[in-house]
Amino acid sequence: MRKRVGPRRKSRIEREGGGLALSETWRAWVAENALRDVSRDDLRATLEAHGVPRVVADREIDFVLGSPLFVGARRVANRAKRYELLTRLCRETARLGPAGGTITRRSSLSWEEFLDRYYATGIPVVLTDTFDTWPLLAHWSPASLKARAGDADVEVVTGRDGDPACDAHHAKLSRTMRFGDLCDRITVAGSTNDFYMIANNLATQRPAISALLEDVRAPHPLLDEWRDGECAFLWVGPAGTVTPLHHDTSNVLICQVFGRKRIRLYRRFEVALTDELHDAVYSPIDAEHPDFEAFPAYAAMDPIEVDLSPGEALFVPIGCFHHVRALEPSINLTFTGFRAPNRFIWYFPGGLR
Amino acid sequence: MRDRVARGANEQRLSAAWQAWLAENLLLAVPRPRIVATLVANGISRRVAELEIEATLRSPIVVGAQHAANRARRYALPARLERETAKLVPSPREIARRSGLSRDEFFERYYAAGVPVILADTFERWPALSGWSPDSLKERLGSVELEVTTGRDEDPATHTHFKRPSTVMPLGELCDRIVAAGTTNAFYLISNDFDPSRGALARLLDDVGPGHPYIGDERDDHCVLLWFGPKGTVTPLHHDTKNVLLCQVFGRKRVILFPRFELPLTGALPNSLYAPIDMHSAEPFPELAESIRKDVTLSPGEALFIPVGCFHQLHALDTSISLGFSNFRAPNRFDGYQPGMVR
Repeated sequence: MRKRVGPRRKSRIEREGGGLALSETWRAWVAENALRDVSRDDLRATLEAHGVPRVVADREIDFVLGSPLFVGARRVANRAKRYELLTRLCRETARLGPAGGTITRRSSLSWEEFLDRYYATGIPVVLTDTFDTWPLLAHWSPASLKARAGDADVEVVTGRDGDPACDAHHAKLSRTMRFGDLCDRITVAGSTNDFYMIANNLATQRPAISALLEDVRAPHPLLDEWRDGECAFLWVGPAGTVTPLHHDTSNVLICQVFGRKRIRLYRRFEVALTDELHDAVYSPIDAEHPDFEAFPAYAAMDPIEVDLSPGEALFVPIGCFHHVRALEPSINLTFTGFRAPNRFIWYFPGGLR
Repeated sequence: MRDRVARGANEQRLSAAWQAWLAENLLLAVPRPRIVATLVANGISRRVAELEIEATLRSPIVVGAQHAANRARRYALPARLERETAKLVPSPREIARRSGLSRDEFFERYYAAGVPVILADTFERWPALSGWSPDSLKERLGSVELEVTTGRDEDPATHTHFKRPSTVMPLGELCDRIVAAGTTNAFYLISNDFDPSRGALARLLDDVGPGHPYIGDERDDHCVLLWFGPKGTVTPLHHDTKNVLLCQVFGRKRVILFPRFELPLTGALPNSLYAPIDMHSAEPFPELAESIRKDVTLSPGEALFIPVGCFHQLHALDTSISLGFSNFRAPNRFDGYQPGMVR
């Protein structure tokens, strides 16, 4: 457990009824760190290092640990520990299947099996037959999309290199450009994360772009409302775009249409990933080069890495953290209109800091 | 502690236990009207309840505990997702009955995912098992002496005791008593109290031969468990620290099972794997109101895969013989999984 450094602004000791007692801020510090399982000796040492006499430190630690309020707080803290045990159990059993914690590639998956086996259990899966359902998608390329909708104006997130939180700040960073220009730029730009048309740019809500969705007209076994701009999203960018580690608040099907994308994904039982969220769905952890010293819990996790090729679709279950990097100039569609309820807006662990 | 709220000498104060309860519930963000209502229902005046809530919220201990509380609430969210998505299948309270399940599909879809399943064709692998009955056991091994758990009716917590009251009797006598007893939970042969792979009973295990696709060939070291009892035996709600395949050989058993993500159950565990909750009683544990409670009846010839960590309660609907296996063809040691021990 990381010990939080104590509060600095407030005085440590206040006179209370003639004796010496800790300030309320330091009492809170004692409670917080005792609940982090910082030992009694370490608590006392920190207090002493901050000028608290040993006898006062001991009395205060006794007071906090002996309080009925601390008993109640301990019960709450223990809940988190039980969930940590469950995480460990899920992680260890997940390794025991023939796939050994890697992802399974499936074709001709029926809705019934998909629902029971993946959607209801939050297990990711790759579907290899997207183009069997929607053969016209196989013809999508930067050149063909430019020919069909090149004059349409679209919003694109730009200046991404200058803002590490560019996806959270997409509204501020978005610029209008011609779709044809975007299609040209993604193939000539080389490897860069500097510009990227993302789902939040809502291109599919523009008539010229939504017309392209005629190519996904055929009924899909897993989706029902999928051509609506509210649940179909278009992503277009050069090689090198990165969507940092985050979770969504709905189940998502990522259909890779052009180019390859590398996705690093964590099962949703990895609760410790929520520790680093700050009122957002984005994590500050660099999934490709994690700092195990800063995030020790991360070292025990089993990331699932999958390279998605054109024609493949990845089911990303709600709550699964994932990181996406385009290995090549990439066009993909994402869908949320599954044939089962998909509204989990209450799922926002980042709001609990 | 200085008095946080000035009060008259004869005014009620919360007991230490209620103070702890109040801090716990405030930290868990239980809506304030519900907290007040509970306090009032327990004889605290509304005014004192409100004052205590204010004082508790201001207490440096509760302020300092906010971080731990947020963590606990955050960590509960993925389990809630598990529950809500698991409810999306057509029959969330059922357990799928499968036959012809390949080894790979069993281990990937059920074992690795911690999902229970009923196997309808295990006895096609072990045809001799179909011949087991109280009569045939008496005929084959009637004189073998066994330790039988007794006095179970007097002590509802009998399962939690390390040394259970027991009586040594020949298997034949046990068979007679089971037939004569009608419906009772008073006595039950459970192999926590003996090793069926040793002694004369080991011959029975010839009937569960090698070569099963999921179960290994070993038949020793407590990897085989035997339960034999009258109609009415109850194994109270608990979870195991291993995956178990429960083969129902004779009679029917009703099984109530919670998916492993239903962790609120462990909050009620008194330092053991057993929960003091009777799922047959009218009043379920309040935190379980939203939970997924699977309820199935196992018939002879069916086997239930019980994933490690799933709470389950068993109830013999008939005179019942069951065999349990834990020697899967995959690692199966999760001794550290004891959330009830977190105190």
